[in-house]
This record gives sequence, C-alpha cells and structure tokens, in this order.
Amino acid sequence: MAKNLPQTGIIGWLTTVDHKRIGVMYALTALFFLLLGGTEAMLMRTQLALPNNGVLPGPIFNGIVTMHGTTMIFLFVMPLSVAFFNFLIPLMIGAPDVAFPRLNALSYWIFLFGGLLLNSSYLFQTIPAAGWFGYANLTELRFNPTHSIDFWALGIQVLGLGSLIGAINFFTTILNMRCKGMTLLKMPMFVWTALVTQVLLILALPVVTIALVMLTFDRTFGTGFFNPGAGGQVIMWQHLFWVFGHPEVYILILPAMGIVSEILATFSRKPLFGYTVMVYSTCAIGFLSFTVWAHHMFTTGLGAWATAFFSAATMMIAVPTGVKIFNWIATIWRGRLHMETAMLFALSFIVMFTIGGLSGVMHASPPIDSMHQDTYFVVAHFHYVLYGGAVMALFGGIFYWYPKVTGRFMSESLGKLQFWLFMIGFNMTFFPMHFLGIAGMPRRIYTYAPDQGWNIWNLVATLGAYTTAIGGIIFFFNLFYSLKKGKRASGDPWNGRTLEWTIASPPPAYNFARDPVVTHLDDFWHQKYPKGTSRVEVATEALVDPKTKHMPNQSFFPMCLALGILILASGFFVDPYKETGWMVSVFGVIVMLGSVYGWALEEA
Amino acid sequence: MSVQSDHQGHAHTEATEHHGGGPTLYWTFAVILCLITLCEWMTFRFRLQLNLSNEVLVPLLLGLSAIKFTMVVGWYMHLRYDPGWLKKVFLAGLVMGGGTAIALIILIAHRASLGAF
Amino acid sequence: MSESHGLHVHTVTPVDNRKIAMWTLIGSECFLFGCLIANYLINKTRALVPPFPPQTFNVDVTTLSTFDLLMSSVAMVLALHACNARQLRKFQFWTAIVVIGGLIFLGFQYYEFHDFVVDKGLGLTTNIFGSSFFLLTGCHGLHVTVGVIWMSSILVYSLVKGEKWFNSRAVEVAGLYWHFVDVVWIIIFTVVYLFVYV
Repeated sequence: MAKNLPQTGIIGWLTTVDHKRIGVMYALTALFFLLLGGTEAMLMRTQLALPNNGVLPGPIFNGIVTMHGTTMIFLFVMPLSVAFFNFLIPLMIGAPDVAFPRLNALSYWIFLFGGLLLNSSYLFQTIPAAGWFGYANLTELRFNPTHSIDFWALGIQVLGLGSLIGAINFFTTILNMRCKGMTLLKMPMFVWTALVTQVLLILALPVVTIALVMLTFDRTFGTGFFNPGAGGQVIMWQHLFWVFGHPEVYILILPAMGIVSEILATFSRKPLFGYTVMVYSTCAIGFLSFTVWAHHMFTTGLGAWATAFFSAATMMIAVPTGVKIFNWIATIWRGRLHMETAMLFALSFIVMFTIGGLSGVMHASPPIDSMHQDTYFVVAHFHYVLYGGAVMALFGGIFYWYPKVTGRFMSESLGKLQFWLFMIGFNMTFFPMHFLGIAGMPRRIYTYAPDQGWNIWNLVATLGAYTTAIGGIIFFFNLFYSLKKGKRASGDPWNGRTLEWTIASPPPAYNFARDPVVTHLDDFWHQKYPKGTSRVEVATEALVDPKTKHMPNQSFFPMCLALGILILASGFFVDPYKETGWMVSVFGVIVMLGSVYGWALEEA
Repeated sequence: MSVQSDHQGHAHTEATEHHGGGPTLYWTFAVILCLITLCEWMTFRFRLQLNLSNEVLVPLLLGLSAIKFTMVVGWYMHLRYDPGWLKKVFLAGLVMGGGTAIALIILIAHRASLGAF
Repeated sequence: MSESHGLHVHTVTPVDNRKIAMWTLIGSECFLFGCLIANYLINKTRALVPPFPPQTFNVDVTTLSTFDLLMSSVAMVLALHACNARQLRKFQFWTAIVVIGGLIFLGFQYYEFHDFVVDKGLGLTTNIFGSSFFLLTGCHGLHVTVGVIWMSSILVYSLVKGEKWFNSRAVEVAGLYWHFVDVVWIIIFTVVYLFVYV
C-alpha cells in the first residue's frame, strides 16, 4: 500500500516522509502558531498600555501570559528551528534524506497534535494560567481545579516526545549520513550547532518528562510530589524544571547562531572566522548549559555554596558565548558586505543578542539578581536574547533559504521594510523594560496604578508592539505573495558556500543525483574559487529522472501513531480518570500498537 | 524500522560482530553475575552479623553493582568492542545523568550542608 | 533507509543507524532514570505517615526477581548469537526464554505491588515514599512490558517466517533495549532495596 500512495495532493502531504516537505510543514505550522503567540502578545501589551486598564481581566491576562510564553517557545521557535534542521541538514551533509524518514514524519505529527492539544484549552475556556514554567504548587489541583493545567502539562509532554524523537533522528543523521570526505570538522557551522542542540534535547527532555509526569500524577491520582502536606516539596519542581529549562534556552538559541554563521559568511564573501574555535565554543556552551540551572533559583535559599557555584558557572558560560560574538565580528571585518534582508537580520542578531547577553551576565551575580528577580528587567533580558536574538536570526534564515525552498526570491523591499519595523518596534517594546524593571515593575501583573512612574514606558512598549505587528503583517504578505510573484532564483542565488547551493531550487526529491564528495570545509566555495580570487563556473547539478532513484515509501502510520498518542493524552481530560478516562487512554495505546505494527511490517 | 532481512548481508556489518565472546563467555559471565548477586544478598542479609557500617556497606554494594553494570554493558551489550565515539554517546548520558542526579540529591536533601537555612 | 531494499546508504561509521539511535535513546534514559532514582532517594525518608521502607521491602523475593532478569539477559545474548549463526530453533528457543523471563519478572512485580498495597498498606498515594517508589519501579516495569511485547513480536514473526528471516540488526537493537532495562534494575535493586536501612 505504501508504495502506491499519490505524491501530490492532500494524501501526498499527509503521508510524506520527505525531509524537505516535512520541513515546509514544520515552518508553516510554526508560523501559524507565531500568529497565535503574537496575538497573545498584542493583547497583553494593549492591556498594559495604560494604568488600571480594563481590556483583559486578571485571570484571563494570566492565561494569555502563560500561553504566549508556551506558544512562542514550544510552538514557534523550536519548530521553526526544526524546519531548518529538516530542510537543510541532509542537503548540507550531502545525504538523500534523514536516517529515519518515517520517524521524521512522526515528529511533525506529534508536534501538530501537541500544539492543537495545548491550544484546545481556548476552546474549552480553561486556559492554563500558571506561567510557561508552571511552578508547583500553584499548578496543583487545589489551586487550579479545572483542566487548564492538564492542557499545559500534557501538551508539553506530547510536544517533548516529538522533539526527542526528532533529536535522535537528526543526531544519527549527522553522525552517520555525511557524504564522502565530510569529516566532522568540515561540516557547515549550522550542522554543528544543530548537532549540539540535538544532544541538549536528548539529555534534557527526560527531566521535564519526569517533572510533568509527577505533576500529572499529583493532579490525577493524588500523589504528593509537590505537596508539602504529603511530604513532598515545592522546590523539587523548580529544580527539575530548570534542569531542563536552562538547556532549553540554549536549544532555542544555538540553531539561530548557526544560521547567523552561515548568513554572515555568505554575505561577507568570507569564510566564518575561527571555525574550529566556534565548534569548541558551541560544544562548551552545550556542556555548561547543564551546570547553571539554579541561576533561575537564586532567591529560593539554595545556600551559600550552591549559589556561588551556579553564579560562577553562569559567568563562565558567557565566555564561549562572547568568543562567538567576536568571531562573527571578525567574519564581517573587511568583508565585501552585501546588505540583503537576510544579512540585516543576521547583523541585528549580533547587536541585540549582545545586549541580551549583557543583561544576562548582570543576573549572574546573585545580589544583583535578587533585585532583578521577577521584575521586567528579566523580561527585557530574555526577549533580547530570544526575540532580538533567535527570532531575528530565524527570519534571516527564512529570507536566506526561501529561494532554495521555493525557487523564488522574497521581495527585498518588503523584507527591508519589515526588518526596520521589527527593529524599531522590538527596541521600543523591550529596551524600556530595563527601566521598568529597575523602577520596580513586577512581572506577570495584569495592571498597575498610575502613580508608580511606569506609565510612559509601558505606553512606548505597546506602541512598539503595534509597530512590530505591522511588520509581521508585511512579512506574511511577502511570504505568500513571493510564492507566485517572486523573482525566479537559480540553484545558487547568493553565491553560497555550502552544498545545498549546488543543486536546483527547489531541489529534486532525491536531493543529489550523485553523492557529493568533499575535500574542504565550504567545499562548494572552493570549487568556485580554487585559486582564491578568480571564479570558476560550477553548474547547478543537472536533474535526473526521479524514477532512477530509490526513495523511501510514503506512509500513513506516522500520523496514525501520533493520533494514538493524542488519544492517550486525551484520556486525562475525561473525568474521572480512574473510571472512564483510562479507557480512552487504553484505546489510544491500542491505536499506537496497531500503528507500530503496521509501520514495522510495511515496506520501508 | 522495517523488519525485512538484510539483503546486503555482511556488507555493512561491523567487523566487531564476530568477536566479542561466544556462548562460553556469556555463560561464564552469567555464573559470575549470579555469584555477585548472591554476594550482594548475603552482604545485606548478614550486615549486622558482619558489623558493616554504612560507610562500608554503601561503597561495597555500589561497587558490586558497578561490576555487574560494567559486565552487562561492556560484554552483553557489546560496548567493549564498539567504536570509541559510541562509548562516548552512552558515557555522556551516564556521567551527566548521574552527576545531575547526585547534584539534585545534594541540593534538595542536603541543603543544610550547603549553608541553606 | 536501510539495506533492506538494496538502497545503498553510505554510512560514515560502520555502525548501523538503528544501533546508534538505540544507544542515543539509552543515553537519554540515563537522565530519565537518574532523576527518578534521585527523587526516590530524596523522598524515601520524607514520608509523614507509615508504612516506611524497612517495614515494606522483602529483599529475599526481590533478589530472586533480580536473578530472573539477569538470566533473561543471558538468554538475550544467546538468542542474538543464534540469530547471527542462523540457527533457527536455538534463536527461537532463547527468544522465548527472554519473553518468559520478562513475564516472570513482571509476575514478581505484580506480587510485590499487590503485597505492598493490600497487605502492607502502601499505595501510590499513601505517602511520598510510596509515590516515589511506585513511580520509579512502575516506570521500570513499563519499560519491561514494552520489552516483553517487543521480544514476543520478534518471536512470533520468526515462528511465522522461519528460515527466511534472520535480522541480526533488529534483534541486536531489541537486545540493547532489553539489556538496558536489566542494567537499570541492577541499579534499582542496590539503591532501593539493598540500601533500605542506609
């Protein structure tokens, strides 16, 4: 059956196992969730524009805050990064696909269903409202008796499973499917940051899995993991969550750093400066990210030794990060800069991320952090690194690789307009938050009194948000308009350095007609410029008849298995679980088992 | 993960598949594992008679289980004969996971020793 | 994406993709069980109501279940050896022993859980010691169950396909999973049961 499924139309997309298609699906779904997360942001900023505002009542505001953070992190930045992993990793390493194509599809469907599960809380009007980090014991049944928190906990649990499966897949792919000659130290920098990201996911996700299981058990079965009255401890949640949570923020930033490395090198017509040092810095950041988690807990009474240790480790992690900043600057230094939209985004990353990094290093000092904790200063910090950093880089990546994916350029004029609206809007919103934090404005409040001295900056921040929104609308228009009307792009529209630019835009289903053989880092660049300055014409690889290439078969089972997982999770919303809900979960397990057997027995 | 047989047979087989011990080694190890388990049980059963304090008991039992662990991972799971980087994949998880577990125990259960109130 | 249909997949290392994936999963599970064990060790002395650990564990019985799981690991490695040597009946025999060993272990777990809940009054929600214990051993038991289903499926498939099917890769990967489940129990046996008075 799997052999004869149509490649086009709805069935083609539902059963695809092609990494390029799955990448597109991840990107479009992530951008849809960006709209949700962005709307949530606009609602919050509208409420906070004026003191004593009545747009959103407190409880709803808390829900919007929670959903905004959870959506932006788990449903936008992470999946959009995965979209880039999916599309680019096999192309950059010269492989025909990822190691496990059906598992790849499974990861996508789990992501989609997990995101829908989380957001269905809106439909049931029980929005989780305990923050994206869900601190116990606020999340316990006693203080949150509706299913709101279960949407959050089970949503993230499901999403985490999809991420773990994807991470194992990409990890295996990068280690085992590189083309001939591509040693680890000849891989593009993006592939290195992707590799370290997968390691972080593989090691950190189990911890949040345990934390979420404990929370779900507390709420569903009445265990007392986070209930002091039963012998449990509230602090246990914080530790477990942040052991995951801190590597998580590096999971968010490393892919973006990889994208920046690629864009800066290409648009400066220079190789990435200090490639080997960048690789080691990335690995160091990855390792150290597991040693700093309690810097989120400086005000919980860890004790002098623990506080000192985590403070030192946090300051240490700034070193390899700073090294990367200097290497990027050295990359563009004396380069012939081409200021296309992608380059603008990548350059803005350097500045914005550095600002965010500086405020981060400030928090690394516990006495200073005790002043920053739970104020808008922290909000400023993480938006500078996550938005000014990761998100700007991801947009740069979209403009950079859009021609490869679609065969057309995005509009540069619209792109630059969007970029400046984003830059102005973003800085208008988040720079004043440093001042608001120092002036004492706490986080997560739904309104404030008019005599606190916070009025003017809150208004400015909101105006900045609206500016950003206009930029966002322009972006979506550009994205879809360019599909039909964009200028046609060749295989190598940017004079690129890496292997994805050696094949047609969009690439054929089989990727490479002949397995590439590389001899240098940035091998394509070396082919084009063997003697340094004079360019040799290297034709885009000619297409061959796809029927001569054996491709993995399409399959329904990844989607079915994901559906089974969703049904299993849904059981927890059918009350009481011990009487009825469990039967729904068992049905989910049966669907899962059937899908697994179908998968194992079909012809790959 | 399809179940069809490997048509290419040994073309991509690891060279290590043919060494790493046969049934003799496996049975020998099985006997050793049983004996160690017996030792563990007897140590526990007769700890009072043997006058074993915690300072002795804990390292002794941990050591015995570490030997079992190494035997199963190294020989039954073949890791002894696998490439170095594969060993590192496992060891990274083990060392960092174990380190995190120990850190959590100290941070939560032994807060007083860290100067917490 | 395997050798199974003649698709020449260039792999950089001599290690099969599925084997790498399983070892990576095992590395991940070190964190999973590491946190569960840490949580148990932190909470085992924090119960506010009885029963407490010394009143509940039967180390003698648990030692037997440990022997059983160890022997099933031996059977696993002998099954793989027979598969590599293409000895059908031996392969099927030892695979069946693995399944039986797993089922016996689950039987021991059922007996123990039943004893705890019904006779000793320790359930999932009785106290934090119970919650932590059942979460840890329940998670391990779930992993054993998945392993039993997996090995049974391999056995049934072999019985149906006979001489036509000797997939060493698939059996090796299943074996790695099974051994890991055994190794986790080695740690749990020591740290939970043998340390009951520590």
